[in-house]
Amino acid sequence: MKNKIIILTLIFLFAGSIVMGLTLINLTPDEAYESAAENNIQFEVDELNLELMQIAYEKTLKSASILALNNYSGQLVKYYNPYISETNLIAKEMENTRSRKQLEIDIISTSISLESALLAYDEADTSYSQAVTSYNEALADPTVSSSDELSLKYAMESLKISLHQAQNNMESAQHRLDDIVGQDGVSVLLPVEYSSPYVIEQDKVYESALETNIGIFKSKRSAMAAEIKFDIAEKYYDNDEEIYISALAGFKNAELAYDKSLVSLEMNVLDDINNLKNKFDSIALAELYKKIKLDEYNAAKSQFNAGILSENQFDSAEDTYITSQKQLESKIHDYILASMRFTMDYGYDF
Amino acid sequence: MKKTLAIIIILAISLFPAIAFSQEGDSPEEIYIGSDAQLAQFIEEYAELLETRVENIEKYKDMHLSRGGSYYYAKSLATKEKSILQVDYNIENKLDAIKTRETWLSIDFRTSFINLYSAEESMNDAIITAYESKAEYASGQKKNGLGFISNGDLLNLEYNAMASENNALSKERKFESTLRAFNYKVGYPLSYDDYVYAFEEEILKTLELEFYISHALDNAPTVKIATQNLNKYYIDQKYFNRFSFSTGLTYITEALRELEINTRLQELNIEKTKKNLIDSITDEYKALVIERKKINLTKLNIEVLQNEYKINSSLYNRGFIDKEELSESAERLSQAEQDLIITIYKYNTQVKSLEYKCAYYPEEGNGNEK
Repeated sequence: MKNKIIILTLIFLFAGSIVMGLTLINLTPDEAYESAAENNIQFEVDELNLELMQIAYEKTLKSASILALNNYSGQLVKYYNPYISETNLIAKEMENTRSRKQLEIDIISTSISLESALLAYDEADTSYSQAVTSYNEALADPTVSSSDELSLKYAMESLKISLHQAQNNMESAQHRLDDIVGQDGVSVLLPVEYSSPYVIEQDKVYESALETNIGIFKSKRSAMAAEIKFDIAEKYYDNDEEIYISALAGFKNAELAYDKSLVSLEMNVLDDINNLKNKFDSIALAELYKKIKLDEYNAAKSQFNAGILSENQFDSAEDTYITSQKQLESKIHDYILASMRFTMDYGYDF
Repeated sequence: MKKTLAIIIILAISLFPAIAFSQEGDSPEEIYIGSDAQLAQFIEEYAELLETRVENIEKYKDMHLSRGGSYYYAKSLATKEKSILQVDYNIENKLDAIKTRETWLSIDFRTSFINLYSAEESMNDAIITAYESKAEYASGQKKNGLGFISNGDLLNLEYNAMASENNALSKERKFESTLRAFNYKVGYPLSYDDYVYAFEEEILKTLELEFYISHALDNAPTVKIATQNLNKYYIDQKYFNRFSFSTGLTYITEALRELEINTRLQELNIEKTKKNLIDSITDEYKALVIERKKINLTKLNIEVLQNEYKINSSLYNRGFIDKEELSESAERLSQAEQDLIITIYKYNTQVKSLEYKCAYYPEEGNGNEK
């Protein structure tokens, strides 16, 4: 028990650690991303799909120059179809960029899951070892009844299953990370630095999102495409004809949808900034809590060394401090991930 | 005394279905599978595909081939070969669909069956609690009359009795609703007289993880269909490679590049599908290993409770504990034995679920653990 804090610190700061007999390769987030990008099947899929869209776009351009007749359908082929095809191509490029950013987030979130799984395994291992000790002590003690021995055996077997489950979870988390990074036995050093959300300028986030957000881009281009279609319809049909009315309705609907998406974006930006602030504030609280528990732990240590505190009470103070440390780590990770998602969604770095 | 009566009620309730639910003929599971419209449709379509196989192949063999340039000729040759191949692919895929549907229905039935049982157990527990609360309230009324408990305490007992009565009624309704849903699923209204709570089973035997993975990679419909699609791209490539085309024609260059990209995309799709399948089977298998250990733990629990009951019997015979405590001990043991049966049933359902994922369908009666 006395070594728990040291063990925990080693897990947090580990370098060249060994898990289940596998030597870990320590990578920074950037190194992990480079490795992942080289081995990522999805990237190849994204690039190939982009090329298919490029071909489709070139085909519509060719059709526009060859087949465009001077009538409604012909003008759609000339102006409307290439615009739609170009929109799809640019949106695909934007999606591919987002997919790369998502990979960075996946690496960090999977690494956090792995760290939690490692700690859970460590706890399950400790519990099981204690149960084994209790059972063995009972076996060696002639005053313990066979019925109590059996109950202790049951508790021990139950914890063994929990340990097995924790091991599965740990292996599965390691496998997921290895799979993303494309190497076996990977460990990624988690980022520890983060900025305050109170420096975020709402207007700039909004401006940035207008340029980079895929949903907004698609919505804006849909409205513009509908306008092109309406302009063509206006040229060839009277305002009481069905195609004219339908094109006008399509244009108005697309404009409304775009306006709605702008309002929705503004709301989402405000909500997400507030969400970041909540997460950031909870870090400060967790830091204070950890400080209080550290003070209590140090006091308990002095009292224990002076012989005025029992070992159990000291262990309890130590456990509480460790828990507060884990809670703080978890809050920091949670905030860092939320910040990364914010940057990905709005193209705004802070 | 109250608890003893409650235990008698539990035993009566739990014995009732076992006595009443026996009948001859098709089991509810067989009725459920047999009355599935989609499965019937698959079987019909499969028979039709088999019946028209030769005719369809002949039709494609006589297909008109375009002679308008080597590109279109290669394209029509590829289409002909792919169409002939597709006839057998359709038959194979339909047979897979039948097997998959049957297995899925079986798993679905087992899950619903367990849910029905759980709803009934929950109802039984609530009825017993309501009975106990009512008895406590009746006893409280007597004590209040004699001045042993206050009016406030009596009111609390009355409240508890009413609350537990309401809870029991709610659980009864919930059970009735679950039973109705179960009957609807099975296809005709069942009552207690019609079916059997047949949970008792042998533990199903599992095979090595490598076997499941290998079987899934060869037989899982998702992999098979993706491989069939890839084969069709390979056929296109085979014919396009056989002829030389004018590179000056953009539409041909584009079509060849599109084919190249689509072939590669399909190869990557198969790679991803296989990888996901392996991961998913591995996770499910590992979970199954733990569930298997839990069965052993449940058996150990029975051993602990048998031991406890033995000690309690001895204590009762020597007058150290009353009959109520001994009965409670017996009930705990009986409950643990029932839990074992349910745990095995759930484990077997998980085994079937793994087999379903691997498209592995062992013959009925085969594979029981020794």
